[in-house]
Amino acid sequence: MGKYALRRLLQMIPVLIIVSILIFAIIHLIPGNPAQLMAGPNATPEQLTALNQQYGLDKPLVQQYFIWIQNVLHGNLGTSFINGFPVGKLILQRIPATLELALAAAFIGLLFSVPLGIFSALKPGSILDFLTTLFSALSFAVPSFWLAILLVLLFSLHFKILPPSGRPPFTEDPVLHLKSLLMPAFTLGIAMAAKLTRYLRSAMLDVLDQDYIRTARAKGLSNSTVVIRHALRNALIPVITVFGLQVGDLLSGAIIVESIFAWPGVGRLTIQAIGWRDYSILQASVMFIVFAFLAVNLLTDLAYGLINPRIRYD
Amino acid sequence: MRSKVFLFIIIALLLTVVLAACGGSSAPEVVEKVVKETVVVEKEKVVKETVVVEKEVVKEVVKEVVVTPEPEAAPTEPQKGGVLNMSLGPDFTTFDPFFDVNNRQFKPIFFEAPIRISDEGTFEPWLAESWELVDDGLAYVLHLRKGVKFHNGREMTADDVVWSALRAMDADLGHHLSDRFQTATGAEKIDDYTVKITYSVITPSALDGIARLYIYPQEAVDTIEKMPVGTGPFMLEEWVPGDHMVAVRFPDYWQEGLPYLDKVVVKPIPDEQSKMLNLMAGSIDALMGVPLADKPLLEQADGINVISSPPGFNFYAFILNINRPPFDNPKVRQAMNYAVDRKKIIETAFHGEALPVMVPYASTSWAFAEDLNNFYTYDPEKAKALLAEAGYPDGFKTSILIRGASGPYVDMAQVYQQDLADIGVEVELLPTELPQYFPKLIHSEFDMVSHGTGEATVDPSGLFLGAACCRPFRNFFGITDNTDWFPTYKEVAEKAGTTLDQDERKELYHQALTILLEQGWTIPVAWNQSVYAFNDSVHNFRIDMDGAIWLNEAWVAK
Repeated sequence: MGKYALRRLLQMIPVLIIVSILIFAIIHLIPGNPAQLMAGPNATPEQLTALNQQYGLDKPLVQQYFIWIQNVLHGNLGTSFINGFPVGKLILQRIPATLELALAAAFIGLLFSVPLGIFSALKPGSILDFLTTLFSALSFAVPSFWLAILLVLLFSLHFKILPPSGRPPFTEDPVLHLKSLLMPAFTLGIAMAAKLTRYLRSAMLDVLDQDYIRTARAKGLSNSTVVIRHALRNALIPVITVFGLQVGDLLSGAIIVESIFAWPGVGRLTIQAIGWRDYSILQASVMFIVFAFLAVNLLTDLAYGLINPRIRYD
Repeated sequence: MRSKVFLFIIIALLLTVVLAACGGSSAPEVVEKVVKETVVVEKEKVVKETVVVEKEVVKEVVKEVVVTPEPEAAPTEPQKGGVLNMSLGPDFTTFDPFFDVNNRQFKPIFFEAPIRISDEGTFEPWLAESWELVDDGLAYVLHLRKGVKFHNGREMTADDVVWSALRAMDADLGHHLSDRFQTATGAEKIDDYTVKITYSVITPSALDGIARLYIYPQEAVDTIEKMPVGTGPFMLEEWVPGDHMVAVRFPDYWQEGLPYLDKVVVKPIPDEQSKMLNLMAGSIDALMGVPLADKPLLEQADGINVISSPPGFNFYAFILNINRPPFDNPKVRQAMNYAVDRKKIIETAFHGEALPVMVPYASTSWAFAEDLNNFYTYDPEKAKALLAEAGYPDGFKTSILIRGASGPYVDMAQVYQQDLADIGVEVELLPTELPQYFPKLIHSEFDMVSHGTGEATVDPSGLFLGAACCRPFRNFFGITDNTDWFPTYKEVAEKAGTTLDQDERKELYHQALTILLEQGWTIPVAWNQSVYAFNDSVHNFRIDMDGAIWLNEAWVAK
């Protein structure tokens, strides 16, 4: 598996190169010039030219691309048009927040979806199954921003037990930090749980019908062994795929949730950068998102091998 | 059978939830209705009765800014210490005070200028103790305060003011302050605490420029974007973009005993609903940028105060491109003016929370022309008649390029679209994101725009020679190309700027404003006021006419 992982990592390189060209081209094709935006409508043509030259925006696109790639290989992701900060620093500052939120949301998602998915599959047509289906449907239907505001109204305004926004540093106040994480993670986790529950339920229903499950029960194995060791493990493959895609989604930044809870993640940074046509930030953050997706994809594939030893890597 | 019963119960529960949600949402509506009823009564008075009533309303707003409402049993003596948590909305982009970008309202926290604009629209001494106009009105001499320190410990002297002034005059640097120093020719040091700033012509708006001339030391220029070094009551301690900005008390601030606050913490909370909830939950003490639809909600919340910056600087307007038919015909432009129902736009697009505008500068100004304040009333019949006279009895088709894809510019354009349909003008709305909007604006690629304009100057010359006129690279609307009426207007406006006799100037501005209104290419709609909210623990939270925040006397009750 080690060789397989290494091979996959090396395969990422040409993918990232092609993606970098695509991202660069698309970003620069979007109408609107960042220098114009920075200078405002009241700038003289000379001021505009000066700004364009300062940021190298007057050079041919191909040249701009190679300059950017060269800088990236030297570890320089450029400087933000918005505030002049080094882009690498800006994104690195945001990555822990995004990672933390993604992992917490994934944890909550699994916390709800695994038991609900299993039990509703074990007793299809029961009250629990009906309630689980209802829960999934509601979670799909409810927009995340509505749920987020509702949670803030309830827990911050009414009960006053959770902070409404922000992310205080863990080192300063770990309890407050965790409290701040709860609501945004729950908002995202519930949305995730809705989808995962449905997938897990249908995958489990499929598996529980199989002959080997009947055999296992006939052998006299306990219910928990049959369900968890045998059924769940086989049902997990499609679920892990969906889970991987969703975690990738979360890593690209849950923009709405980050806005409402003022959670300083990568998503919010990317949206601001789009508005400002901040090419440096956009290029770097989209590359990060792509890399994150590829990495999660790889981890998902490796996980298949862990769950199902029949899957071999050549 | 059992599952059918359960199904019924679940559906009933769902319906209850839906009804509760609908019912719940009507509660705020009831509240809004109550508020709106009282507001409508007042506003009707404003529209139907004389200008004097309107002026009173405006003055009340100005007074609101100065007086901080305090609850009865609360402490009235300022308390030293404490932290003020604020949110301004989006994050800072640069701290360079010569730029007017995100959160320019925060400049007075770190920087100060030789003079300050008072709430009555006059100038008061600040870093300069006094000043006089010399050389037949072609120069200002500023007498600086002694012992004022910068955040880096050095004393501010005339050299610093000269350096800042010369930097302000340098248009090549691309900052926004150079607009206010276009006629300035130089700055020289008379002695260590006296500076003379010279102009090529008499410049009545010179003091407006000096009021924004934030002084900072030359040695800080390379890092000023990220590290503000000024003479203001607070110094920057830490700025983590997107997360927080912390400013701490400047111990050597020149005003004895001030500031009261230990710290000011600013957190960017981009979502407006979330910002309000933070204020109501107490995790921030003050915020800038209350959505107008939510203003009544905040005003009624316990322990929250809402204030607006005084009107008089910027306003929302529709502006016509007079180089594009049919807007090259003044009758058509006048028809467009008669077609706008300001009252309806304010009630709908601005949720009843804005003030209408006609004369495009402050009613507290000495140059205010009360008789022109109702130049255009809402008169669709007159609009149709004018269109017929102009040769468009069946109306015409046009489009509105809108600043931004959502927000007040879009909302007011939608209402105007309906009003124009009533007079036979078919309008296509073009909401446009800013990065695409500005190039179109600059290259005059539009029929008309839904925009904001105005001039942030106390002296009306700023408006007449600025936004309404003459900057050549800002001739988006085709005004300066016109050969019929524009030369007359320009002559009158410039003449008003060459004399210091206030009565003569008032008369000349009256003439210039009459021409502007008759030509009607700018259709003023409502004043654009910055709205702030803060809780009862905050005192002396001051907003000036620029919408800038002054915290040097602010304090929080513990």
